[in-house]
Amino acid sequence: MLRERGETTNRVDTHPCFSQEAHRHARMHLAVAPACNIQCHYCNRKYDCSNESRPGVVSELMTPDEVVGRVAAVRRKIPQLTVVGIAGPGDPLANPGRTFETCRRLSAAFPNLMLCLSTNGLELSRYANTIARLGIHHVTMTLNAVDPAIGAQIYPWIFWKHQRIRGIEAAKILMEQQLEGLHKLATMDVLVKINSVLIPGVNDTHMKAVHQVIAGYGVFLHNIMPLIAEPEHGTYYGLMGQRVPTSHELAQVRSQCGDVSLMTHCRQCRADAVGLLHEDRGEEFTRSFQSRVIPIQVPVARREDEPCLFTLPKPALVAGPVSKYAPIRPSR
Amino acid sequence: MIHGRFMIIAALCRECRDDFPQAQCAAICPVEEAILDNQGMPVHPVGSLTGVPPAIRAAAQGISSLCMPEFL
Repeated sequence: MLRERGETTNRVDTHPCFSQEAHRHARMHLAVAPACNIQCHYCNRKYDCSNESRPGVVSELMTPDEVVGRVAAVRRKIPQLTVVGIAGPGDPLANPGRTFETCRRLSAAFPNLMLCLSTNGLELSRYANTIARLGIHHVTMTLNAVDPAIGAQIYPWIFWKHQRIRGIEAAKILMEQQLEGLHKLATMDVLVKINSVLIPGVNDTHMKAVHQVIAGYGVFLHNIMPLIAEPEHGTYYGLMGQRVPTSHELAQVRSQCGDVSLMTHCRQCRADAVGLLHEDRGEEFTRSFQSRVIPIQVPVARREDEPCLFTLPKPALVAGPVSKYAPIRPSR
Repeated sequence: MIHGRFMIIAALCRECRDDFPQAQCAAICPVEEAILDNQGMPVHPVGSLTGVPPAIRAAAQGISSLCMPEFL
C-alpha cells in the first residue's frame, strides 16, 4: 500500500531516524527490552558498557516503572524531544510485557510524543495489531536477507514456539514471519523503515533482491548500513575476522536500490541513546541523574492479557532430585 | 527478572517436563556454559551457540576484559 506524501509528512518531519531534515529533533531510546529471540552474527548485548557505541549496548536497563520519570527528566533538558523508542538491547517484541507496558505509560503521560520500536521481526506478525492499537507510529524492522540460505549465514538460531531452531529452517521461519509482519503493518497506519546490514561476501550481492521485495510492502524507508565488526566487541563476525564494507561498496549497493527511499544518515546508535543524532547524551540521564529529579506518577490501567514470551512451568508439587535447570521468570 | 537479570528459582524447577520439549532456560539463554544439566555439564558448551571456536574465544577474552564482560 503506497502512502500519500501529505499523510506522513508530520510524523516524518519530526523523527530524526526517518528524515534527515528532522535533525533538530531529539530521540530517546528506552532500554527496557533485555531478552532477544534470535542470534545475529553481528550482534551481542552488553550491559554497564559506556565505551561502545553500537546497537545492543546499554549502560543500564530500565523498567516500565522508571520510564515516565526518566522521559520527563529528559524533556526538561532536551525540549526538542519528539520521539521515544524501544530498540533493545534485545528485541522489544521478545519482551512484550515490558515493551507494551512502557508504551501505554508513555502514551498516557506524553500524548504528543511519538512512539517507535525496532524489531528483528520474528514476532512482528503476532503483535502487529497490538502495535497499531497502542499508537506506535513508527516501526523499524531489520531484514538482511530474503533467501533462507543467505539468512542461515547470518542467524545461527532463533527461539520459536518454545524451541531453539537452527540453520536454514530457522532462517526460513524468521523470513516468513518478517514478511507476514510487514504485510500486516502495510494495512495499518504505521510507518515502516527497514534496516539491512551490509555484510561483504554474505548478503552484498543479495541486497538488491531484499530492496525489491520490501518495495512491495509499502515500506517508507530502507536503511542499508555497514556491518560493524570489531574483535573487541566479541561478536561472531568481529572475532572471526569478517570484513566490513568500504564506503565505496556501500555506495555501490545503495546505487542499485531506488524503489524505496534510502536512508543515509543513520548513526547506528546505542539502545539507550538520548538526544540529537549527532550527540548522544544518554550518560546524563542514568539512574544517578534520575535520583535527583522528582518522579511523576501517572495512573495507567495495567493490562494483564498480553501474552508473554515465556511461560512458567507449573510449580513442582512433589519433592524430587535437585535440578540444575531452573525456569526463566517471565519478563514482567 | 531481578535487577534486569533473569534469575533462577531452583526450588521450582522441574526441567519443563510435560510442558515443553526443551527446558526453556536452555532453549532461550544465549550465553554459552550458563545453563548446566543435572550432571553439572554445560548444556551449551563454548562455540555451540555463537559458532566461535573455543580457541578463538579464549584468545579474544584476553583482548580486553573491560570490553568483553560477557559473551551474549
